[in-house]
Amino acid sequence: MLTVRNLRKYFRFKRGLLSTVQYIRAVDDVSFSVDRGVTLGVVGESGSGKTTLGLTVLRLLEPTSGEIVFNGVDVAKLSKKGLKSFRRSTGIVFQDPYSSLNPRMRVKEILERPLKIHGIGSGEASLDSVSGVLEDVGLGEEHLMRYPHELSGGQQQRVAIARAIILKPQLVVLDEPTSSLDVSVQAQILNLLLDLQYRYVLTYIFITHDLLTARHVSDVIMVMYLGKVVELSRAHELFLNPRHPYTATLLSSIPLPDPKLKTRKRMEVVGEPPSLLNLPKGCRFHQRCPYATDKCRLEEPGFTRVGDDHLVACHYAHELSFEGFTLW
Amino acid sequence: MPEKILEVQNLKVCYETGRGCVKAVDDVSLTIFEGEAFCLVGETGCGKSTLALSIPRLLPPNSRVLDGRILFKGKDLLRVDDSELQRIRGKEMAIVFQNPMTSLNPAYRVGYQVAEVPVTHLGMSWDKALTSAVNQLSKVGIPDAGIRARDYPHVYSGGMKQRSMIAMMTTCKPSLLIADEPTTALDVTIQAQILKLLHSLRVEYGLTLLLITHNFGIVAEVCDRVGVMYSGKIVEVGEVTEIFDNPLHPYTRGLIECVASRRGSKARLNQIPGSLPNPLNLPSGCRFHPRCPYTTYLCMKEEPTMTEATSNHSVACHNYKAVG
Repeated sequence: MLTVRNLRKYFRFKRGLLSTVQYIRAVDDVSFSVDRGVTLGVVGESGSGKTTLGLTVLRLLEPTSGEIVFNGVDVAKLSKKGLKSFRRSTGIVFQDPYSSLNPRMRVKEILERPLKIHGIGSGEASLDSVSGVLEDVGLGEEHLMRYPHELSGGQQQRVAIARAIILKPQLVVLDEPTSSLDVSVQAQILNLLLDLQYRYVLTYIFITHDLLTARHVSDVIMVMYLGKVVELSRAHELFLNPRHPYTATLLSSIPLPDPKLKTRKRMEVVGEPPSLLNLPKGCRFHQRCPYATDKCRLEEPGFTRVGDDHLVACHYAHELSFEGFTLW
Repeated sequence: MPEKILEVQNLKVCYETGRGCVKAVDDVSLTIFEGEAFCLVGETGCGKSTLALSIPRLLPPNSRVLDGRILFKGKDLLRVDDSELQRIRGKEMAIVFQNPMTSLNPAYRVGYQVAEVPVTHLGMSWDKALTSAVNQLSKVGIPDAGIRARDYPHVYSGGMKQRSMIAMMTTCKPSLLIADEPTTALDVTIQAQILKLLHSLRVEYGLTLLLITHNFGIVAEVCDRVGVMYSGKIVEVGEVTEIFDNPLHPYTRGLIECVASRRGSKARLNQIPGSLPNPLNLPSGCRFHPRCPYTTYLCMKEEPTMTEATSNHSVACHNYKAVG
């Protein structure tokens, strides 16, 4: 349904007296495709470009280059008018529900807005779909006339989800939808998202830094590091058999809620990610990678296929096995 | 039996708000033994940070301690005078906060800020203190510490700032380190590095750790004993394996079950219905009863008190036998 090819998003900025133009390569040559009804989990640390990717796929940011093919149409080339119909079949939910809802609008107005913009229904009919979608997300008529600040964080996120799905979109980008919520509320929202996906056959791009959440909701997971995809695989397979050293260290870093695993032998990673302005040559992970060789320092790795639907951007994808470590 | 290093007895803390006095910590008692790592875990607004801040008396001005005692090595911190308190803070007891960006002073070099601690508390000369600051910084894993000590905090990454906070807080080898969500603002790989650092410092200095977190993964990884807080109360205290294998409070059980775990994917998570109670309008009886699957008439009427279920496991629930 959605195929992204060689997508790049560079941010240009000037610095210093001589105004040398520099580029931040936030998303650099990313390709993937998602089928209908599937969840693609995008994981990575801050600065890996996962949010930029989500925004660019919906063309909320203009891509620098690349193709975004949605139902056979290249969204990157759409005119303003074409974009409007694309917008109708997509939705987005952001991390912080409070700042993504207009504080001066009531819940009813927030939810009617997309209907108005797309000229769907009016009066009674639009009120029906608003009530319907509110019920879908587990809220009731009593919330219709409330302002966002009168709702709890979990309820605000439910409104944001309702707004994203009211037009019955096919693709929804969820950008850290549970990160700012409390644990007990996170579970409620994750369950809700899974229910909605099942009921409306939604396709999700689920962006998160929490690997356990990603594993829970995703069918396919894409691991990003400094703007690049380093590994792409079915969720189950990725956790069972990670092949990129970065994925392995990420898994190994998760604090697991089981005291018996406290002493597991982990794979540790040294140092911190380099600045996006000053990316290393060759593989972007080589400075922190315990297996790096001269080849990694010079040559940027392409993708190696290590199994069905399992791609790894590492020169040694076939050789490395991380035996001796209990990763997670 | 190891010595008690910190004993909180019947502590009550409230915040003055426009709409009345909100009790953030309500009659909490807690004992921490020397050398152990104790975790306080709970959701937003449960009072875990307020409890932690009240120990070194760092609560904001709109708060009031209504009642209770905080015995640190036998001294009641709520009643010691300011000069005594100054001596204890930073030297015998130290605190690391969630947000390292706001804990460091942006106007001073990092090395200077670390050196200030031994100058103040040990009467060290500035020359010596600056050298020891560099050592301390390299010990917590700041690369090229000699050069980086002359940097200002804004050029440091989040992980490095938290490392330098830890360096600062451990120069005087305190016996108690309070860490309030020390890794929440950091990425997972950096979080793992910081947790490892805390562990190695604990082993080296024999320090006692009071860690505040909302992450059950960190609890399992770091702690020896755990206290679970809900709505201003401690509802369960026990050894970490006990809490995970045999949670007795329905809230603890719910929290552990609703964390997306290593188990299969796309299954529904167990969820705790409802949301946290409004502190201005607390439910009657047990504060958890509107969300609890085990509620009985007694729970609505009477607040449960802490009961010892086994020698190292206490719980405040009327029906804990049915839960466990």
